Amino acid sequence: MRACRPLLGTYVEIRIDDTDPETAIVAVDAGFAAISEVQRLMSVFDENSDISRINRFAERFPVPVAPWTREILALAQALYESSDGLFDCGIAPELAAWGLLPARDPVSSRSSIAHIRLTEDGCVSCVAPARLDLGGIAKGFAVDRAAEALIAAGARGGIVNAGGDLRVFGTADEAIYLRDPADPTQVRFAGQLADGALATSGTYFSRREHRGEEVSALVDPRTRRPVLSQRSYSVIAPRCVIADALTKVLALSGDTNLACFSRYDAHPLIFEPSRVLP
Amino acid sequence: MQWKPAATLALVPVAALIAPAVAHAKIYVSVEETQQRLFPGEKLTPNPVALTEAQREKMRDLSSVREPFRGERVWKTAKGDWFIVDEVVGKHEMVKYALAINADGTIKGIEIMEYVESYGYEVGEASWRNQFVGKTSDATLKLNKDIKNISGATLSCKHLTDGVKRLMVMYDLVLKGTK
Repeated sequence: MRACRPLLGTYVEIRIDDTDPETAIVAVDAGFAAISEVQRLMSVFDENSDISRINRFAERFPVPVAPWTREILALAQALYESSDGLFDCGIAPELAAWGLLPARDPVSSRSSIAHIRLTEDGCVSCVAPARLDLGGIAKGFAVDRAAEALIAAGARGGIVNAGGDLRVFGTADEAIYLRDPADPTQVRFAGQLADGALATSGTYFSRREHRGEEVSALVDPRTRRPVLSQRSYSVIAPRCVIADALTKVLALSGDTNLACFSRYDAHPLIFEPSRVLP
Repeated sequence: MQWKPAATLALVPVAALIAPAVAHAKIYVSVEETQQRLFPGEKLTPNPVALTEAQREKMRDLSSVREPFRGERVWKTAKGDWFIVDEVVGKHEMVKYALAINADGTIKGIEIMEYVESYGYEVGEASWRNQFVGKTSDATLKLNKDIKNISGATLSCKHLTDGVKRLMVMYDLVLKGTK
């Protein structure tokens, strides 16, 4: 069974194999419900999401958040540490300044996920500005939660694909295709994946002119400048949340040999466009 | 986890994608199956609508969708909920989808029936579907105010947004009054 619904700003597809139809139909709904829940908790386009409330209030008082939000923030901080600051979800001020996120009050100093603290009682506070955008990790997190919900509901195998961030579950090999960074309507065979995840980052879609300057949705937290590479960056990892986050580390470093890839059992892949873009 | 890279990609730090291109995957779900997904166990009866030229023009003006709406693709449940099939054509892709509207005029759900996937990554992490669920046509019509379409959202997302919008206009003009 296959189903596709608009979620996370993209088309999310769920496919279930080797499972009886009644179980599959219940499982599919559970999978989409998990993704909706992640979106509800973490979208910065929703003023009442946990992340929006952290961005607005956590500098002034501790903000209570849901367990999933705590989990993703703890992971985002661990990734920040192990990537030596290359993965930083505190880039919302730059994205807002470039017209890619809703505008908020300007920050007084540099925003970083390193400034947040997770308290014992399930709250989030900030010791310095932390305006978060989980665009680099939440889609992968949602895909993992969906896959878990599918398995818990009795699905034996299949795939969850949120606009290119995907997770294969079950024992069967899945053929994986990647878009050509030069022509995203063309896809190419990349390999076979079983029980794992893959995510890809490229700036060729998000790139645009903002006040005469070229910007993209990928921010280098060190320079606070947009990444404008024409390559695409894919990471294969056991979990989609890791694959998703590490594509940003790969895009920023251009280095497939960083220690954090092996630490998370991840395989980085960099792709050249098949032809030079205009 | 088990990963077997394609022969052309193995062991090179930066690979050119030289393997042959393949056709895009397309999902396809029938009308009957989509109805059962959105209204499990319920019986839907065809409820074709005939639109006047003035109504069509209003749908075009308020949604900017130019393709003609096919009035025969409207169904109704015994409870007065609506099921509508429509399609929107983007620059690179076609999306055929179903919209379920509750009897009170709020959106129950959206299901993609046919989708030629050509773009995906460019869309931000927007609250998308939840922007629609529970909205009435009044709310949905104010696209710029209420529907926080992401800056630089994809053509596909934009076109689907417009498609849903024109169906809500149609609901307002035609379906809402019918009992």
